[in-house]
Parts: sequence; structure tokens; C-alpha cells
Amino acid sequence: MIFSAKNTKLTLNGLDIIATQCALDIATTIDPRYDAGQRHSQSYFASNGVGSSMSFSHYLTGDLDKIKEFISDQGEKIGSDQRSNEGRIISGSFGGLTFTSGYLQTYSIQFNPNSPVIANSTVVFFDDLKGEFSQTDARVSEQEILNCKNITIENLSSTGVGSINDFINASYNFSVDINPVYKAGQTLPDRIYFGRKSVSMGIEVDNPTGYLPYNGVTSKFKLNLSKHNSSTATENFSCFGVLQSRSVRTSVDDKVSHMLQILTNNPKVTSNVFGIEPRPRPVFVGAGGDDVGVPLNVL
Amino acid sequence: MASIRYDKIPLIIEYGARTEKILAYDCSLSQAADLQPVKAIGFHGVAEQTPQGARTSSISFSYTPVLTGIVNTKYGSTGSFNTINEIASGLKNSKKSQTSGVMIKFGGISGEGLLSQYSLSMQPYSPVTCNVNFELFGTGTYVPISGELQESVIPKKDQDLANSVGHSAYSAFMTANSPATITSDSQTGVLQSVEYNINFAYQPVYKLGQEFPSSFLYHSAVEEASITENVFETGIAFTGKAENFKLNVKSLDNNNAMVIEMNRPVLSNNQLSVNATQIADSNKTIRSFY
Repeated sequence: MIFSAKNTKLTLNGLDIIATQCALDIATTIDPRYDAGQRHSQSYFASNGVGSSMSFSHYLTGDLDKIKEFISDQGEKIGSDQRSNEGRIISGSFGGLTFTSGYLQTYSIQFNPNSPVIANSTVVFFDDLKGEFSQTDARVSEQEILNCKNITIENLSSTGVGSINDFINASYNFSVDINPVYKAGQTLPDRIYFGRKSVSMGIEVDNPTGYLPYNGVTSKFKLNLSKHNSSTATENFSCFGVLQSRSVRTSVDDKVSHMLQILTNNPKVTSNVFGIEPRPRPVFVGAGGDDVGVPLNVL
Repeated sequence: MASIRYDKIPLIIEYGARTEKILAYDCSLSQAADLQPVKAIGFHGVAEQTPQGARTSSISFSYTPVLTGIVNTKYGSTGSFNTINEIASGLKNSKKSQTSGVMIKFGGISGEGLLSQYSLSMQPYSPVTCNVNFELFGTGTYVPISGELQESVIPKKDQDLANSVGHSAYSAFMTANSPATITSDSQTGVLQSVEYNINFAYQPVYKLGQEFPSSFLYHSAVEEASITENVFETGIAFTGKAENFKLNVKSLDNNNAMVIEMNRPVLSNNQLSVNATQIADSNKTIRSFY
């Protein structure tokens, strides 16, 4: 049976997403096994667990974007005990197919003049999909979509960035390394650990210059979005980092564009180091039942 | 509001120190908001119709050029008075990146427009007819067009005006390599009509947080002339045949002229056609790029 997009709902953490597109990809990691003396493989083996991802694009409305919240919360030490955790796990449903342990891997937005704001996200998950593909029948509620006409940009950068009068367009990109930890004998990960997080911002501006010292330039840009006929910002995106590159380019019958690329590895203003809470390693026991040493990490 | 008749809606172009009341046959003004429906997967209906671009406007009209009048009000000098032809001639050879618009006033509505298309048609025994399109983008915080439609009292035109309009009677159509000459028997064709057209490519520069462009870039122009004559020249060149094109459009009294000169035009195609009861026509198209 073939379904229509209007009957295939996307839900994340119980929230209906105003998405323009969604793609669910499930892939195994299977390698061929070659026997000695054979040029061709007759069998295959799994070299890793099932890795799944869901990418989707959704409009930003005046309310703070719920997907964006995962950027700062996910993989950070949060809570009163400040223990390491997997952050806020995303459960989702796409056309009735559900997963329960997803994690935001990428989140990006392209800001173009007078255009609606659309975020592109990728959620990865490693558990099995449950449920069956099913149709829904709902009417979309009236909502105001944020537009780049109502954007203000705060430039708190050092003078090395140069004088900027016009911001032609901008992009915001978040990514994080997400790694599953498998126990021997298990096909589903026992836990997830998070690697490096980074937020980068690309900004096309006027006033092309070539100044870029070897250690970059301190750059701070904040994009504030408000609703039509309102001056109150209802959403913002910031990147406080280092100017990493400049690019000046043009082509026939086009303007000269000057692109700045800013990178930060500290998406949160207050940094919490993410990682595993250290625990004492098990003590090796000798053949006679005696302790042969103490764990190295508690010395 | 009472209906307004055509003779109460003047069309005026202001360019530098020049102000020209256009002898227009027709005029059409349109404006548009660039909206797209917001649809979402899993839902029917639309959340809203949201903007995806700035509001724009355009104005197009056809007219007969009047080739007399005061060109420079400061010095009171007279000359070629087709302002739009002057704009087109200057713009196509412009070396500057930035450009700006021309003030257009139409029945109480006004705005700054960029000349995007200008064409001219010449037929035997006919006044010259021009067709023009301006694109209005607005700038900064200024909307593309403002004002309200209202009638104006226009003084009656001078009877001598007919002598000043551009006409094919005394206009020198072509020079140099055209009309086509077949070298074998030295035939010279009879030129029957000229259709001239030029299109300009601009880039309005929009910035974040502002609906209307902050500046305009002029990139290029494409100029084309289509000439109908009664001889056909075979053997079009692989690399294109270089032509010369200089059109002197004169007034009916042969006193004033405006000039259109194409820069190094090249013959791009040539067509021979005939219909029953008609003489054979040859149509050649030459093009220039700026």
C-alpha cells in the first residue's frame, strides 16, 4: 500500500513536528567473509550493530525550538549529582514506526533574506524500530513561521573581524560524535558516549578583507529572531568562538561574496565536561586469592 | 472613487535633470508578495502562507518616442529626448558595479525602477513603437511603489507634436554590412522591418533583517536585433559573421534623431520563409553581449 505524506506524521518526544520532509534510514554493518584460497565470499558477518538515522527538516515557529534544546542538554552532566548521563533521550515516531532511544547528531539552519526559517536535523538511534506503518488524519494548526526578515544580528567580535555593515546570509551548524558502547554478546548498545561537540556559523558579509592571523580572531555573533511586527526575540542562535577562515569568491554575473566561518567547541555558555564518571577498576586477584595490586586510576 | 479615464493618468519618467511625459499607448503596473504555503508531513491543510521573498513590483508600457524637447534643463539644451533610449545606451556600456533606479510616476503612484527590458519596432510608414519594462524592488525601508491612483489634469498637447515622434520615414536603418549583399551578383536587399530588443541583468542585494535590497548590481546586457529583408545570404559562418548595426531613428520632420548602436554584433541565425501569395522574406538575427 502506498501512503501520502499528509497521512504520515512525525512525532518526537510526543511533540508533533511541522516537518517538510523526513527520511528514515536503517542499515546494518555487514562485511563479507573470505576463506583462504577463495576469491569470492560465500558468507557475511555483522561487524557492528544496526545503525539507524532519521533526518528531517522542520519550520521554526515563534516558540523556542524543542529540537534545538538537545544541543545544550545532550551528553552533558546535568542534574544535582552532576553525573554523566546520556542527556535527554529522544523517542520518536514516523508513520507509526517508533524508536525509544534517539540522539540528536546534527542540526543546521540556513538563513537567507526574507525566507522562512527551516532547520535540518539528524537523529540517530540504535534500538529496533517497533510498530507498523500506519496513517493519521489531522489538520495542521495555524502557526506563524519565523522569517529572516525579522532577524537582528549582534556582532560582539573583536576588531580583527573588521567592519561589517551588511549580513547577506548566515548558517548555523551543530554536530556531535555519538558512539554506541556494546557489551559482548549484545546486539544493542549498553550505553552511549558522546565525543566532541561543535557549533559553527558561516556568515556572508560585505567589506571583503584578507586579514586572518594564524590563531584566528575572537568572534561572537548572535542571531535573534522575532515574530512579524514584534521586536521581542523569540529565538536565538549564537556562536562565540574563533574566526577560522575567510573566503572571498565570485563567478560570472554574480556578486562578490565574503564568507566568514566561525567555530566553537563550547556550545554551552557554562561548560560542563561530558564523559564517564570514573569508577575504580576491579582489583585483580592472584592465584592464591591475594590482591596483586590496586587500580591505577585511584592511585 | 470615481473611475478615471486614460487621459487623466500621466506617465512620467524622471532621470537626472530630465523629466519626460511619455507618449504611451498603454501602461500596466503590477505588484506581488512572494508567499508559499506551509505544508507539513502528517497533516493536511496549511499552517500559513509564509513569505519567501520580498515584495516586488513591475511596470510595463508601450510608447512612441518624442525626439524633441529640452534635454538638459540647466543649460536649456535640446536634442534626443527618448529618455529610456538614453538610459539603455548608457547602462549597457556601464562599467560600474552599482546602479540605481529611475523615478516613475503613474497616476499618483510612484517608485524607483530598474530598466529590465527595452524593445523597439520599426515598420515602413509607421511611427516607431517602443516597449519597456521596469522592475521595482524598493530599497532599504522604502516599499517598491507608494501613493494612490488619482487623476491629474493634463494640458492638451501641441499639434506639432506629430512632427517630433520617431518615424521610419527618414530613419537610416542600417549601415555597413547590412542589408545583406550577395557578392556573386551584388544584390542589395530591401530592408522591411527592424525589431530591436535589449535585456538587462541586475542583482538586487538583500541582507538579513531587511525586506528590500540594500543595493543593486548591474551585471550584463543582451542585445538583439531581428531584421526582415528580401534577400537571403547562404553560408552562415561557424564562428558567426561580424556585422555592424547603427540605427538612426529620426523624427517625422527629419530634425531630431536618436541612435542605437550595437557593439560588435554577430549574426546568429538566418531564416528564409515564404507563404502563398507573398514574396519571400529573409529574417536575420544579430546579437551583442555586454
